[in-house]
Amino acid sequence: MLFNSYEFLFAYLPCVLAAYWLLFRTAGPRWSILWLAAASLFFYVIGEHAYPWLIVVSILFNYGAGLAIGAAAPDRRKLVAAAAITVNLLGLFYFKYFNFAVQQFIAVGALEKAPWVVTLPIGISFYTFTQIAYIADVYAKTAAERRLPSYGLFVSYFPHLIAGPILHHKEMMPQFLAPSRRLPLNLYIGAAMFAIGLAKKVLLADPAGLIATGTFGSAAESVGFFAAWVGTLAYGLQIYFDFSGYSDMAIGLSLMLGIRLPINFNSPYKATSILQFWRRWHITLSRFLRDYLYIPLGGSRRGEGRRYINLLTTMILGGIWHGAGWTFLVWGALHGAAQAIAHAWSDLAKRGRVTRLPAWFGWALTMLFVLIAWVPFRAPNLHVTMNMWKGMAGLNGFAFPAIGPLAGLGQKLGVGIEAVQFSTLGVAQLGLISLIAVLAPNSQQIMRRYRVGLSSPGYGDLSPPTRFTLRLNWTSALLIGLMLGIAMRAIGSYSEFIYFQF
Amino acid sequence: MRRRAKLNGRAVAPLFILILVAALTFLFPLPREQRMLRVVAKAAVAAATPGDKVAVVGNSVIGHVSKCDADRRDISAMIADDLHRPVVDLSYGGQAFEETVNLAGMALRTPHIRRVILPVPIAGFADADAMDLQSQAFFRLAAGPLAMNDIGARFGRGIYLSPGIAERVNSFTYKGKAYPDYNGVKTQYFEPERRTMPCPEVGGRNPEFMEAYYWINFVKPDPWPAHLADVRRLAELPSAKGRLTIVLMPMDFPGVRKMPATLQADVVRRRDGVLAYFRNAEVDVLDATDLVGPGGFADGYCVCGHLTESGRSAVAKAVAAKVGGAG
Repeated sequence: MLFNSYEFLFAYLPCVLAAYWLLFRTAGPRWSILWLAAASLFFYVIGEHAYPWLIVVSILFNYGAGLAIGAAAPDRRKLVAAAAITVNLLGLFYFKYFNFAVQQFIAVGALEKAPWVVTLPIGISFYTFTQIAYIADVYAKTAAERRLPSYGLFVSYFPHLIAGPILHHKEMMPQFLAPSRRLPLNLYIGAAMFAIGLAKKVLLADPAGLIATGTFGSAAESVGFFAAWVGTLAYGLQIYFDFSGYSDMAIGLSLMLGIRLPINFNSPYKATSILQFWRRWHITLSRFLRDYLYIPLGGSRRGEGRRYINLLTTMILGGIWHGAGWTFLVWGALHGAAQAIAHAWSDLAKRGRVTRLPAWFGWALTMLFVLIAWVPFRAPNLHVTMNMWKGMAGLNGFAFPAIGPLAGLGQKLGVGIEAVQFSTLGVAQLGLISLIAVLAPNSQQIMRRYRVGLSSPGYGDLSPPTRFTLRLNWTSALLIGLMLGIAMRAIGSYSEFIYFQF
Repeated sequence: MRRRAKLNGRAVAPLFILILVAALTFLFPLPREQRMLRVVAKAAVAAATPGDKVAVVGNSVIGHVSKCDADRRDISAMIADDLHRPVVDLSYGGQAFEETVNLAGMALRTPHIRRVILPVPIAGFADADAMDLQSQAFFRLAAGPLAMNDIGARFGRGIYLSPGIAERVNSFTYKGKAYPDYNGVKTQYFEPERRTMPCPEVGGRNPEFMEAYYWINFVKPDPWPAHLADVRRLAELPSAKGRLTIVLMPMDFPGVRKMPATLQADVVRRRDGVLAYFRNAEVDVLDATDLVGPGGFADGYCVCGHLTESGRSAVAKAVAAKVGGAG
């Protein structure tokens, strides 16, 4: 079930909300937790056709593993935790990377054909990572959960289940037991946050996605300079508004239940360096990789050279986490290398050997790099990636952009016209969406007065002051209501969220 | 804490306003589809400008011009030239059957539109789909109480807020082979043909697919009785007398005749059934189903009824003769 579907908005959500608050107020948190866990599993099971049982098995296994670690003798705790994490990783590897591994064996002639094909279960990367973090926290004695319904809810909680944010046990459990009881206020702020997220998805991400799909779809052959840049920009905007829209919707839905989720985005396209970009983009994945991979690998504690290797390793694994394919590895490696270079530059600047880059230059360089790196993330294979990069570098030649009437003008002038056509309205829309990404305040800033989500330590101020903050008055209610209504009208055909596939 | 408690109390009225405004905006009776909005705007302009006009509704067959055609006029332009009267083109690609009939109904109510041409493809009668709720509500007001705009009947068919989808648009299996939905068919079958089709763009190179596509368009889904009845009711409206011309659009019979005999018979039976319905109901229709001969159809591979310049000209002349004859 999608957040941007009428089934969810008009049937599932009202039923879940009404029963949850009724149970909480009349029977207490034990029953409301049980209801929410059951409703969350239902939410998952009706959308997952291949392996609806997998999440239940995964929850039971990790719950048991958590208890086993807690009960284990001090000298065996590490072994039990390592075994539990290994089982999680093996499961993830099988469901996510089996097909890819088989393809590689076929490519080198070690296998003739695939023995079987594995369907990727929805949300497996998210709920596996959430539980690996839990196991690590239990091992570190910062988490422990004895109640199965509470643990089940922590993993399957429907606002975050399919595409995050990736949660920490310690930030959620106290809230499940004692959610914020300010019902009208939470519903109002939650609805406002949800409206912003839905508008991002259907009014900004989906139109940008149409342009990106058209361009990347044509890139198997050849793609011109202008089309390659427009298509890449469109994808960069699509993925940002799609994923941050989803995160806003998740935060809004959760607020309606009186529970705050961690904030996942903080205007990443305003970042003036790649290091800042990663403190603003997919924050809960970034902190997971930092806390459970980069720091255990040694972080920056073992010298400069080792630090760069750790960064590269972390980002490559982060890339592969997104999907089984060389393109994701390339994307991760590019970001790892860029972070290593940025750290090196920053260290040199501190020693006065190089000058610090002006903010505007840092921003332009970061955006240029991020856009170029989105190409392998979106392209179905390395061939299309190379074609797009060649187009962006002008190696496929320069021709007249085929935008609406401009194509006709090019024809009259007798110059070559690019094969990928864009409508004037589409390109104008893309320009407007770009301005929103770069100049507009983000959701947390708009909702600054109400602390809509949890901050992550080390990720800076997530809601710096802005002139455009939502107030609790009739004008705001009118505007948000209008936006929600328009966004609901714009829900058209089936439009999945990009991060569902990860 | 005290501030938040105070805020909580103050949130009730704004929350109520938010939900009310969202609900009203969501349900506001205006088409959600941009292309539908565009033709509604065209009709509004026609109503606001003096001079008698002809309106043409319909799907991409009306506006399609083959890349090989020397004559670049579409059917609307040809009708305008043949009738020497301005034509308001209310057609667009992908116009569903319910939209076509509703737009015709709306045009009949539009000032300064003297004549309405309603071209209907035979396959359209089988489209038991439904528009989104807001468009349906809009047409209930703009086109009148046609059965297809009955909200109760819609809910009775199990179609609520999301639009219903025509059976022929979904994935299907024919003779043991699975075919994707319309979007998949477009990329997998139409696009390769379109890209490589030399001039003239007639026929197709995948007879196996074309047979399957004729079957899912003309044979598999049964005609929807409500659609036939709605066209009849539209023709019987007092405002339609002498103003509405119903055209049963050309079917690619030259292509059909290359198909297996049983399929040919089924397609002819479907066409004859629709004709018989209108004959029995004493509704005057222009039967153009077998009007266009070989070379008159473009893009035969898509079974979509697109016409070449000779095909368009034949339809336009037949319509002009009918309209001219009717005065």
